[in-house]
Amino acid sequence: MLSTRLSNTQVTFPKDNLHVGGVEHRSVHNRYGLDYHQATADGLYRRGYQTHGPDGDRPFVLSRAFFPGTQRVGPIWTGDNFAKWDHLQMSVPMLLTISMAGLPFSGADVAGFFGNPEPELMVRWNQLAVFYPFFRGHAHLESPRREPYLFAEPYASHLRNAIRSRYALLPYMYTLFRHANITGVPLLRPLWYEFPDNKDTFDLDTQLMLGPSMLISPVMTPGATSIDVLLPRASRWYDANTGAEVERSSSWLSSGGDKQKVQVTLDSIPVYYRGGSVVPRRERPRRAANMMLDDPVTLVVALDANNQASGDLYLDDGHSFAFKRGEYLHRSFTFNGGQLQSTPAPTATNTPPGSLQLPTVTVERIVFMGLPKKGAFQAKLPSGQVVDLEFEPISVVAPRAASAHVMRKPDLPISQDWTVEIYPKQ
Amino acid sequence: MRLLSCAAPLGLVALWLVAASRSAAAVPRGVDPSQAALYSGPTFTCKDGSKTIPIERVNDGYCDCFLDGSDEPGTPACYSGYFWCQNLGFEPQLLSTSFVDDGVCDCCDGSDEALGKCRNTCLDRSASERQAVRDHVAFVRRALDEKQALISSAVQKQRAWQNRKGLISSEVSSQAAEVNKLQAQVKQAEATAEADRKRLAQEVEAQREAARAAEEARQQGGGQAADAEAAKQQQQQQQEQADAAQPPSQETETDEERGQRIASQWIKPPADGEEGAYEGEGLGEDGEGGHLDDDAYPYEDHDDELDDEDYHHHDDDDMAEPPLPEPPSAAEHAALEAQLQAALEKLEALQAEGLNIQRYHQGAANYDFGPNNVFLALAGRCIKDEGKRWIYEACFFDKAVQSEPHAPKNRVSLGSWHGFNSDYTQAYFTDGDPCPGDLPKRSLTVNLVCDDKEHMYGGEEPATCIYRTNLATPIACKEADLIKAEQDLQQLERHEAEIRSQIAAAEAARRDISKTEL
Repeated sequence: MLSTRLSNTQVTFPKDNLHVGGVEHRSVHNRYGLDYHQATADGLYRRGYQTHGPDGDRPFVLSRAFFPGTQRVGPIWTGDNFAKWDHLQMSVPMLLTISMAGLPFSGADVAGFFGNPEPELMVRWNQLAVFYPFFRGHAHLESPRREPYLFAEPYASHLRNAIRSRYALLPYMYTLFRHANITGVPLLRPLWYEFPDNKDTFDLDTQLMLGPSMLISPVMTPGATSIDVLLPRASRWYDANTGAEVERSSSWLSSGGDKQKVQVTLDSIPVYYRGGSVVPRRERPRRAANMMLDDPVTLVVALDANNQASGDLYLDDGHSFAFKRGEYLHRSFTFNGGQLQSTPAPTATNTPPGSLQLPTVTVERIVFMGLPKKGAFQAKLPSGQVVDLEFEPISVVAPRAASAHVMRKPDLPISQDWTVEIYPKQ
Repeated sequence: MRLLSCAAPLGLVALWLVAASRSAAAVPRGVDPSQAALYSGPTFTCKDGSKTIPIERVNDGYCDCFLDGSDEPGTPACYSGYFWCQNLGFEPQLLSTSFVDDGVCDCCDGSDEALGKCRNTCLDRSASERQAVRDHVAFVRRALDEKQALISSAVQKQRAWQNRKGLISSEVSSQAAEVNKLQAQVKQAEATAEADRKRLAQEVEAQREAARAAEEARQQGGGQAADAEAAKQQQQQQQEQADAAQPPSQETETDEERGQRIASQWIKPPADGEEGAYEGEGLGEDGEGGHLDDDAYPYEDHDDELDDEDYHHHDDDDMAEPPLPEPPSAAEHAALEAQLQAALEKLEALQAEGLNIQRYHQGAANYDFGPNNVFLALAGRCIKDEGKRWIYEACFFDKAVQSEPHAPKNRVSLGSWHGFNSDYTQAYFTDGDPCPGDLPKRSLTVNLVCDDKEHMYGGEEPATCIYRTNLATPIACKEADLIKAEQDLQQLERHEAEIRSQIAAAEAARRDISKTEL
């Protein structure tokens, strides 16, 4: 009979225990994290067909142990960290590494598991963590309570704004999850993934990219009033909080490269849209993502050096496997020569084309960044109607959003092809 | 059952009257009718003044006043806006617009979702409040009946004391004599029993001595017979062991037996005299629940309360011989002891009665027993508030004491009777045991709370050496409470019918509006 007292220093089976077939335990020990995780998810997967009918129900099982292959099963997180600034800093390279190792659905306990984060750490961590694929606040049972609403002002407002911005970000993240599901590409990417020719990005672990279109430079030291941000010159960059394009003429650090010194305040961290992107958002944060399924979409169009941009949007019912038989919507948006077009996205190999009709979902707002600044613009809608682009905040949820060219309420149906044309106002 | 706060039902009535007076005017969806003026005219200005837009942009599903959401009160376009629910039958409510049209019925009249999605549950909510008022009326009626009973019992008490007044002192002295007599008898019986025990012990010892001598003699003479006996026993044991070692055949052994057999190779049964690890848990002798830590080890003694003398005595006797039987005179002694106890208790009771008569009957003028002497029901007895940490005991018209549940001898005086306040809602004991330094002498305030059952609760020390507790009693209930509760109930029931017809009218209007909007 095996020793049942786990008395060795590792508090686990001795490594030379033999399994069936004479296999030593050391050869299979690490697999256990995958097997256990998979068995649980499998049970929920089967149960989903009993409780939710022929389209089933997607399991959500979070694991701390993982192995190659875990990315097919469920999300993981980095485990018991501390409420300390250096652990906030560490979460960036940890998650980038995990993502590049093939596990895109990953995150870290926000504001640290052990300990008591000071309000500034809580705010800064949340502002970064809304970009984690797996975003969860979690703490030890005996640590002091730290629900966001228990913090005093101004921290509570900053936390509220950060969490609201997560809801607005969901359509973009969900689209990135679709790509991860089909091809395995990570959501969180180191800068060298997008800019492999830029040697300055090779050892950079204080910034990350969410998909190809957003760059996040978190503030990870207490009391910071400015941080250095690397913005590769291969792209145009737009401040996601204010909508302003980053000017290259002034304020480069003398050490050369593409680093900028950016002033920061407690209400936000530097986040940038990359020129050449069309990013879908839902600017109507509700109390749960489930309630947002019928809400209209905002498109953020950020132009590159050639005044072009592209992006896509993936939508489905969010909980079942109906997408496997084509119940999904995947649209491509391209801006070229002043025209913004919506077309069906190319179908991935071995998947059915998406045929989901969402008649209540429209595009309620299109934000343009990088248009030539002079003067006003007009847009011609598919109906032939001509409307002015108005000067409005780039986002309803961003705290310091400044005005940009916004197409107000075009009410373009998301499931159909359409083209709108932008030109300077005659 | 606790007394309900009376403010709620009246407030409900007030709101119903106000809500009824507001008509469903032609305001945009989600707008409080009192703000209708803001939403009339060809343009609309955001409430924070930041922008002016054409009136068509109000509730058009696009957020224009993005800081305060005031142009979209009826749609979820601005998450910072507020939606006004009329909630006929309950109370109007302001709801965050991010909850509008999200599939969840937030307003009790269901106006935050599309028509037909939600039921009007406002009257249901107020129905439970109406039921609460009904229960309250019944409760107050019951309490007042109890109070009446207490008043009549107070009258009877005085009459009884009147009758007993003459007899009580002679009864006390005769009972005291009886006690003395019994005490002497008990002493006598004790001496007799002790003497009998001694004699019995001597007899038994002599018998045992004789038996031992006989045994020695026999052993020296009859050794062979003893050996044969021993050998036979040993053979028997060996046979049993062989039987046990051979497992039962496969067919006859059940799974359970097999499991037990395998397990027995690994688990040793506890040796004789030890107890299993978890025996002795449960209510220990000290009266508290089992302490797993203490009782898990089989070698520790559970009887913490035995004092040393008994322990050693027990030990000696256990190891030696079985205890001797008690002589019959011991039983007589015990019986007399019991009689003495009973007599003592009766004496105490008579003495207490005598004291009560002296104080509260002959000296009634010294006390204020309240209107109709209703508080006489509390005289001559003590009421306890038994908390986990402290016990507060109030003997109205006498004294108050604080003690500890596990150490009843630790008592602290919280004062002697001081009196009531002017409307008989509080009673006071003052001049209790002193406190160190500048702290006042201990005192107790008792709040009198209307209830249909008497009980004391909530004893606390809000400031050092100043104590407070609550006495729930029918005595504290007033006629005026009942009248008020009955009036509230009548009003609520009268208006229910009115509100129902208003709700029906409002829903019909909503249906008409939505038809014209199509």
